[in-house]
Order: sequence, then structure tokens, then C-alpha cells
Amino acid sequence: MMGLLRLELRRNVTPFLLPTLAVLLWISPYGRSVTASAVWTRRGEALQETLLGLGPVIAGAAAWTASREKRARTGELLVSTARGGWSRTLPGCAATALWGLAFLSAATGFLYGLTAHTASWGSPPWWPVAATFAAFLAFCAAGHATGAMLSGRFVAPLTAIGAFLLLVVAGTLKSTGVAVGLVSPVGQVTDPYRALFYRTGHDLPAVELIFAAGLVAVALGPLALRGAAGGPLVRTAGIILTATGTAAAGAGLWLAGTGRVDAGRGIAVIPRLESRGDGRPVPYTPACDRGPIQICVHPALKARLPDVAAAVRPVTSQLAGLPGVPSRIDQRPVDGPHITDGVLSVPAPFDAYDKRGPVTGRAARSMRADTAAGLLFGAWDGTDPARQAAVLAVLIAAGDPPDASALPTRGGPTPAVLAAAHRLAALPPPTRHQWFATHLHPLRTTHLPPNALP
Amino acid sequence: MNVETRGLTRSFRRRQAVAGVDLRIGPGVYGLLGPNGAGKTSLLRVLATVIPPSAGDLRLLGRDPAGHAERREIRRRLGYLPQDLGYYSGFTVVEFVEYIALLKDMPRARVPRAVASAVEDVGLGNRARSKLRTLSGGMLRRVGIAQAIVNEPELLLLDEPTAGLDPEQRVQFRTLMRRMGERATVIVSTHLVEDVGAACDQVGLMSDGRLVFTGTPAELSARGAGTGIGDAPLERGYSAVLAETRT
Repeated sequence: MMGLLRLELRRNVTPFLLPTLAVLLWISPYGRSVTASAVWTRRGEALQETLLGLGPVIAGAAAWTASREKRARTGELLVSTARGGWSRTLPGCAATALWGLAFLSAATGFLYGLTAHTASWGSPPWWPVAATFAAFLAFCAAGHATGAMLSGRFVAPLTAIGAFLLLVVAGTLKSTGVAVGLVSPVGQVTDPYRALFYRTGHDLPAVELIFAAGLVAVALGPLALRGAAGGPLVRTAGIILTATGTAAAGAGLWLAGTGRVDAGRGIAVIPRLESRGDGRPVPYTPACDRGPIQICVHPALKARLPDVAAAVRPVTSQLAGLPGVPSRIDQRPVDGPHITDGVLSVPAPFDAYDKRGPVTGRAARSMRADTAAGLLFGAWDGTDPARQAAVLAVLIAAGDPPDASALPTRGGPTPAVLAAAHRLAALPPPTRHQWFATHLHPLRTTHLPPNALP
Repeated sequence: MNVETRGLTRSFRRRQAVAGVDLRIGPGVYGLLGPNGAGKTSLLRVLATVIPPSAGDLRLLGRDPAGHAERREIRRRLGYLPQDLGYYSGFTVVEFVEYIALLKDMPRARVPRAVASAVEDVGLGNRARSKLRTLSGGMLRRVGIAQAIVNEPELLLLDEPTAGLDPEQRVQFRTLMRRMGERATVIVSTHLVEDVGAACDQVGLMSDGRLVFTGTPAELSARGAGTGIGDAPLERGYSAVLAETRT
């Protein structure tokens, strides 16, 4: 078998596809994650997403190798040799898988090596790696089975296209919250940044792993039951593989069917595999800057702290030192700003962590709006006109447009609110600061009309 | 006897391609002659265990190919050159022959020397590292012969082995056949009666799935004395026997 494998490795088609695989890797979430914050959960998820490109290609390569006998009309000759069809063609499949796994290992090594070098918190998640590798093998086995059963020059491209479409459907099912879709290796259902804050089990990758391992066996097993596949031993192996594969794939689907997605915590939970403590907050020591109002982020996001602090500084510099205003802001996966024990917790705009450089645009404006509203009024429904005007004034002074997105209410500010906001923002900064110092308490405790603002 | 058949029949739907053939062949070179559609290729395919017989008894190398273990053992000791040799165009000559040697379960340690020897025997030593796609039709036929003899088979089945070979190569090939026939059973199906005359100890003539003549080339030649059509004695014997069969 080793001799055949060595020969198949030498003559396999996959090495010719490596440049294509590299391009697909780079245009996939893998490529984008390299330029994003070095966060282990994010990188683990990106690795799985690479399957959208790599899976179909490796399935096509396996189908091409497996359909070789029919294409080259060697069946007549090869049937007269001692090896049965199953053990004759498996080395070709193994060679395809080994080349693909070598590429995937190199890609994983690069991504995880880079992350180990730059990540500020956490450790490598290995379960997504195992699930990715298992799914990759499942594509290889499925491609091999297709190629072995069908003949023709177009089997390989059609297999690749079919695998891609299947992945798109499975990924869509998963990302739209259909429980059985959780077996899909692609499709975002969890939030890798939110998941930093909560203890997460290995539920989801474990289910994906079980399902993929089942698919490998289900793809290879029936091939051993065909007429010229081999002798009684091969048939027995085929029966065992088919039975265990069907059971494993079925178990994976069933477990996924019981799963649910906890969007708030960015994790998926499979109750049967859930261990005690899953979903509980993970203790950590935040990384903080030394601004007038301290900005704190999760230590895994430490690299982006200067950019985050710079984004909110136009707001914090205006409000620092005011009586009753928190002296520290924590970015956390909360729904809205709230003050607890003198610390303001604000929602972290996690999409900002997928980029490098200064936080700009909508993410920055949203961050400043949450910060301004939170520092002034904590948890606030945004309905009071005077408070609206106060928040907008701070944002206008910070250089942001006073549009509807700045307020936690539906609809834009009324003309009276806008006029009051512009009046307050137009005051010299010391005067505005002084006005807030004297009026913040009444603003928080009573309902003032907008014209009460200077 | 390396090949023993009794009432061997192979049908494709209603048509009997091989119709009750009885054979007992030991070591030596056995030529199988016959017109197109006579059943030569079907008989060779049955003997190569590619297709099972529809009826009759078959024993190869003293074993019954109906059982998996025995069939596997036969295939280890078998060499087969099909009429239409498929090949992997990206493989080199050595790789293709090595591939078949490995599929024949040859011990790995023996494979490199056996491959080199087989490639030399067919005169392709200087093209051993060439990709198959770069070879001419005659060279590919020789690759086919090399893969058939790589395991030093006890039963060698060759279907039209000299098709596409030039006269010099055919002479070399006959020498190779005679050498193989010293210790193995070589059954060669061909339309070229001069190959049979030059290399075969025994000859069988098939017509409509039946074996209508078995004997030595000299006996076949004698059957055509003064009657048959053809330029050579064997050709005259060949056409005389066929004419008798048809009448």
C-alpha cells in the first residue's frame, strides 16, 4: 500500500491546484482575518470558513483522481490485477487528502503561528481545527465516491460545483438559525468577539466533527460493497464503515437539531454536549488606557485600544471631570450603555475589530454616541428632548453629524431639539463644561424643555 | 496444466461469444487465431478473470477463479495485455509498469529490479522516464507488454500484442515470447499468422465462438496443402479450416 501511495503522491493532481487553493484561501475570511485583530476565537472561525473555497476544490480533485480509470479506460487491465477496486483506488484518494491536508496544515500553522506571535490573550482553539480537518476529509471522501461511481470528463468540475452549492445551502441554513444547519462547517452563527467574554464549550465543533467523520465513512463504506471492490474482508469493512458512518452522521444531525444559538453571548449550545459552566462569564483583567476617562477593553482586543480610545476621545475629553460622570468606560458585549459602580459599560462595536488602523465612519460615530449618552445618562431610552439635545450637542462639538443614528430612539431629532443642541455645541468648551457641571444633575433627574438649554 | 477449460461458454445477452471451448494448455506459447468476432478476445478476457464464464468449468494455474482467494492468487501470477490498453498519460513508463507491479501484489523490494528488467526486455530502456503521452503507438504497445511480464507471470495472455510494432520489434517480441514460453503458458491472440508460425508451439483456431482447430503450426499448415487461399502455408491452412467450418 505504501508503494502505491508514494506513486499516487507523485502523480496526484492536487499539487497543480495549490496556487488556486492559495488564492481561494486569501480571498476567503482567512485572508481578512489575517488583517483583523489577532483574536484566537476569530482566527479559529476564519479557518473553518476557508472550507467554502477549499472543500469544493479538494472534492473535485478527488473526483478527478477516482474517475481516472474510466477516463483512461484502464479498467480492463486493472481488474485483472490482484488488488480489488477498493484498495486499488484508495491510495489515490489518500494522496489527494494528504496533499490537501499538507496545504491546510501549512495554512493553519501560518495563521495560528501569526496569532501566537501577536495575540494578547487566550490560547489556540484546537476543536475548530479538528472540525475543519474532518470536514476537509469529508469533502475528499465524497469527491472520491462521486468520481468512483460516475464517469466522464466533467465529473470533477460538476462535483466541485455541487459541493460548493451544498456548502452555500448548509451555510445559509446555519446562519439563519436552522438547528440542523449547525453541522455545517461554514456559515457564521457565533460571534467570535462576544464569545471572548463567556466560557464556551466545544459543543459546536464537536458536532461538526462527528458529522464530518460520519460522512467520510458513509462515502467510503458503500464503495467497498460493490462487485469488484474486493473480498469478504473488504465487504465486512464496507458494512462496518457504512453502518458506523450512518450512525455518526445521524447522531451529528440529531445533536445539531437540539442546538440553539445564544446570540447575546455569541455562542452556540448543544444541550447534550454542554458541560457545567458553559456560558458563564470568563474572568479577565481588562486592558485600559490612561485618558481623562479610562477606556477599557477585553485583553484579547488590547492591540486596538489606542484606536478605540482615540475614537471616543472627542467625547470623553468634553465630559471628563463632570460630577456624576463615570471615570471609566468598559467595552463589553452589552445591549446598551449602563452605569454600575461608577463604571460605564458600553456595547463594543466588534466589527471595528475586524479592521486595522483608526476606527472611523459609522463604527466610530456609533461608539461616540453610545459613550456620550452613557456618560451623561447611563441606561436611557432616549425619549427626553432636553437629554437628546445634550447628547447631540456633545456629538456636534465632537464633529459628528447630529442624525438619527446618534440617538437610541426611532426617528430623527425634532427641529427644537436640533436648535438647542446647536446652541449648546456653539458655546466655548469651558462654558459648555461649566453648564454641564451645574445642569447635569437636573437633566438626569427632571424633565426639562429643550429651550432650558442655553 | 496451467489452463483447463471444459465447455467454457461466455454469453453477452443472447449471443454466445465463447461457445463450449475445451482447452488444456501447459507451458509453452499457444497461438489463438481466428477472424474478427470469432471470440478470441472474449476467451482471453475470461482467462484473464476480467469477466466470469457464463457456463462450463475453468481452472487456471490449478485454481478455481470463482473463489475470491484463489482468483487473487491467480491474478498475482497472471500477465494480461488487453486489446485496448488504457494508460495514464501523466505516468512515465517506469511509473506505469511499477503501478501494475504493485497492483499485482509483488513484494516491494522486488519491484524496482523487475520493472527495470521488463522495460529493458521490451526495448524501452532509453525511454524509461518518458511520459506515456509522449510515446508512439508502437511504444505504448511495448509498455503494455512490459506491464504484462513485469511479475514474471506463469500465465501470460496477450491480445494482439504485435499490433503497431515494426518488423524489427516483432522479431524481438517473438524471441521474448519464446523465452517466456519456456517456463510459463503464453496465450497470444493475433491475426498475424507469421507470428504464430515463428513463435508458437501450439495453435488454436476459433470461429463463431468455437475452437475449430487445435494442433501445431505445422499441422495447421498441412491442412491447407493444395487447397487454401493465401501466400504462406499457415495462411492456406487457416483459410482451409475456416472454409471447412463454414461449409
